[in-house]
Amino acid sequence: MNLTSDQQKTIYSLIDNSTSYDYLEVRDELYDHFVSGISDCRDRGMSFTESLNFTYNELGGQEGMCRIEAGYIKMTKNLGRAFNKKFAREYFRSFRWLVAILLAVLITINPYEFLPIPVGALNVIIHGSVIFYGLMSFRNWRLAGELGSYYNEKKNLKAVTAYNFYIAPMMAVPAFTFISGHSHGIFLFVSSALLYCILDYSLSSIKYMKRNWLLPEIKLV
Amino acid sequence: MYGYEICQHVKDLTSGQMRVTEGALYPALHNMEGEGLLVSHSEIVEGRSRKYYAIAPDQKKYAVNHSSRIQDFITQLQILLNPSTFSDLKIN
Repeated sequence: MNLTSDQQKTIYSLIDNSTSYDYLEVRDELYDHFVSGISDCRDRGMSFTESLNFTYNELGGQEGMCRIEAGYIKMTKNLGRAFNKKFAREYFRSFRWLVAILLAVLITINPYEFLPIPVGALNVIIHGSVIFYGLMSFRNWRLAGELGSYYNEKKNLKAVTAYNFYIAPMMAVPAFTFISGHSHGIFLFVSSALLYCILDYSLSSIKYMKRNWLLPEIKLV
Repeated sequence: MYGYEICQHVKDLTSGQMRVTEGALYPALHNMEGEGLLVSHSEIVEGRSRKYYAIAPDQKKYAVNHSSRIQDFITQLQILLNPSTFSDLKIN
């Protein structure tokens, strides 16, 4: 059934005035519900206004729509919690964590007194923040993918791409400068570990980009 | 199936005797999706986004077991509600 632009505006305005939406998916789902409901009602001979009111009441009015949005937020939190657990389990086993901890220990303990302590501490904060930011972006991005959330996915994609291709290599430069003062063995090990981290993140992002961004799950019918 | 379709399907199957309130359906669907029982995907239909739900592939066995448990429960209820059950009861 084709709705006029005014009728579409009326539906959107009713949906928007009922509650505020943190998730556009809920708004889209409600809009589809309204259009399907109105189409059915009109087939039974009801006018547009009658159909709109009927569908609105069937949904439980404003209260019902608030409940749907609240339910969706709860579901997202549950999914997020489950995903966090899965993510933590994956990453605590991962080589990347060992590398991150090793780097942090090297910088914090500063065994060769290569750098004055404040600079070492600053490095820990910077590296820690970058690693944390990268992991969080990566997690959010994957979480968005698991939720099938197209909008969040796109948003988080930007964050993780920025980390992988710009920030991580930028942080690698001071890290290389720092470790270059140590023995060849340590230099070789830490630099290869760092490279591994950067490459691993980049490859992961390309893989997810292909799966979730270049080939989005939304299909045109 | 999408939300509205589920409501209509239940209505049709039960000849309108049973109705799933839409206001209760979506929170239930979202809840089941959060628990990993359902999976969803969106498609663009007639220019608008439509969300389809399906039983998660690894949860189909659970769904079959669960519906079988509900059927057992209904059978037990029918036995309890059978008039012959009440005729055997003696009131002191």
